[in-house]
Amino acid sequence: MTEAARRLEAPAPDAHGDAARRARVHETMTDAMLVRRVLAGDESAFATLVDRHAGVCLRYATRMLGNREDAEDVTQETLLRAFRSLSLYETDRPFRTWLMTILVNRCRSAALLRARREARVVADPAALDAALVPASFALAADEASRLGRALARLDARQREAFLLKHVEQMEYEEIAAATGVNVSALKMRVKRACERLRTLLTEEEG
Amino acid sequence: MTRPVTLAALGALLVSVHTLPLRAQQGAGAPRRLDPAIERTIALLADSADAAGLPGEALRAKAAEGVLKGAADDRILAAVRTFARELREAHRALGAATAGELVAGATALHAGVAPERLRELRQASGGAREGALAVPIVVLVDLVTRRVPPDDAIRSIELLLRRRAGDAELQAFRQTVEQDILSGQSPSAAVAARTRAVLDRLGGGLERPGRPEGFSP
Amino acid sequence: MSRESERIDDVVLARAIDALREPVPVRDAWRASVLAAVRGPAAGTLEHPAPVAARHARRLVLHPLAAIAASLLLAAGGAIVGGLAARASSPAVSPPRALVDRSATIVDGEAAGTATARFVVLAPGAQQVALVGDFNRWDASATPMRPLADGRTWIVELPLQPGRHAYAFLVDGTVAVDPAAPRSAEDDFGRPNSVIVVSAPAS
Repeated sequence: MTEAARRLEAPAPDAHGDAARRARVHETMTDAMLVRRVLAGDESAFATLVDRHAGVCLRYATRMLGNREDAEDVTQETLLRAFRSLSLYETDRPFRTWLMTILVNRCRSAALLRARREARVVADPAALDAALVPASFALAADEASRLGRALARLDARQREAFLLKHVEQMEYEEIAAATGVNVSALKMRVKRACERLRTLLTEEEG
Repeated sequence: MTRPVTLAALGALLVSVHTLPLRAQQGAGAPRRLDPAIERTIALLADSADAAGLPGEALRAKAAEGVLKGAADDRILAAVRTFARELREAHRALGAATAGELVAGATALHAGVAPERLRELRQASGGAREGALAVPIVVLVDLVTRRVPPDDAIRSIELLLRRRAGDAELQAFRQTVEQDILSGQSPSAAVAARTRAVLDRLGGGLERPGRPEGFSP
Repeated sequence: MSRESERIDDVVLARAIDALREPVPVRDAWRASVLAAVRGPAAGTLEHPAPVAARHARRLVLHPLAAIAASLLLAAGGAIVGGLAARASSPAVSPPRALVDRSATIVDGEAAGTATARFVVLAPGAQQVALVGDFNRWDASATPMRPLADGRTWIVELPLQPGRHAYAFLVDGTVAVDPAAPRSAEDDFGRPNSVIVVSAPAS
């Protein structure tokens, strides 16, 4: 290998090294510690928080809203809000719960806005049972398998509880904190969601 | 809970293959203008409509539609005149009505529905909220364009209106009838069957739309 | 399902849950725009607002509250949020003092008596799709639709007055009806149109 090539291959000096080193340090920190670092001025700590939690947020939002584009918008907004109100985060609570609280609310707002808009327009909910995909989920119609369609047909409150419990695998107390719904109501919603989902999925098979 | 449906393009359906080539669009350049005399006449028609409390804007839009679709000037003028006349007739039939109801009514008349039937629809709906007839008439016209015999269509909508079917139900009804027709049923049979189904549901009393458990009837 | 652990005994459900647990990949571009929005010299936090100092902070045209509201506009905001992402390299939003959700006034337009309707159509292979109707005087250039990432779904949102509107899609210069909408009887120019009815805002 020529000297030139070797120089090309060598890692760029310092700047990159600093960032990499910081990232490695961050990896060992808890969420709470990272939050304190952010508040102390270390923005790169927030990048680590994002990397830790964005995937889960995106997954929940995608399943909840039914399409990727909305999910990215809502997740981005959630992370921005989280950033701006970081000082309100109480470090004795799990960061994830706090973040999911914001995310759950953003998803609800997004759906409400969409529904409010579309409620102005004459809707035909019964036609959905003629196996058409609701337009707001039509965006995911291709990527949505039967599963996506079935999920879309759940009542939103049930879908929310179901996703948090069985997909994000949160404890009921955590879900209660994130959704503002009491545990027994949540359990009922999850149960109904499971029943309905099962029915929808086996229906489509038959 | 969620009301996820917009009327336009429900589901991922392909754009219809029945398309109209747009002669006016071929070749770039300035958008086509109408012959000035015709343009003036149309403006007059629209202004008179406005003055009479009718939706003149609908007439201007009709002319613009003709331009976009590449129709000949005199055909456009004829269409606008006809539409203006139909708006007046719809107004006579419906009395106090929103622009949407009037335009819908005009298209119904254009489709061959008699003015008295529009009056009957008004009565059947029982003077509900303002603009309440827009959706029923739109559904009526849609059914007629799909070759449901007008009398069957009108009778059906009347029944549904008397039973206080709402906009959403009427839309759903229309959609299911369309599907039935597309899958081979005769239009009148489809309408009869679906009307019965909706009436049964409405007549049930306990069944209300918009229950919290999702949106299956 | 009586136990706290809520074990899913049902095979169908268990399979479904497995599928739903599949991670959704984080796009690099998206991640970059999130960090850029957070990171801009003007960003700051509630506790540590950025100094008004002499950074070359080029602010976004959007007011920060509008930026949050815009991001709530989802598809409609796609254009706006896309704009945010496109300008990710420049300092993005400055921190609001309070997280006020102003989205309603922007999106609903209830005060103005309009509603926002969304039109979606699948048109694979199309280069250009536009929405035409009486609300934009059938102007082919007034309401272009935009394709989603799949390249086949086209979408647009626009305010509509309550009432009945005739419309159609213009797909690469060809007029096409909306396959899912009611048809009008307006065959004066050879084809019926599609119809949409916008209800008046709920009382």
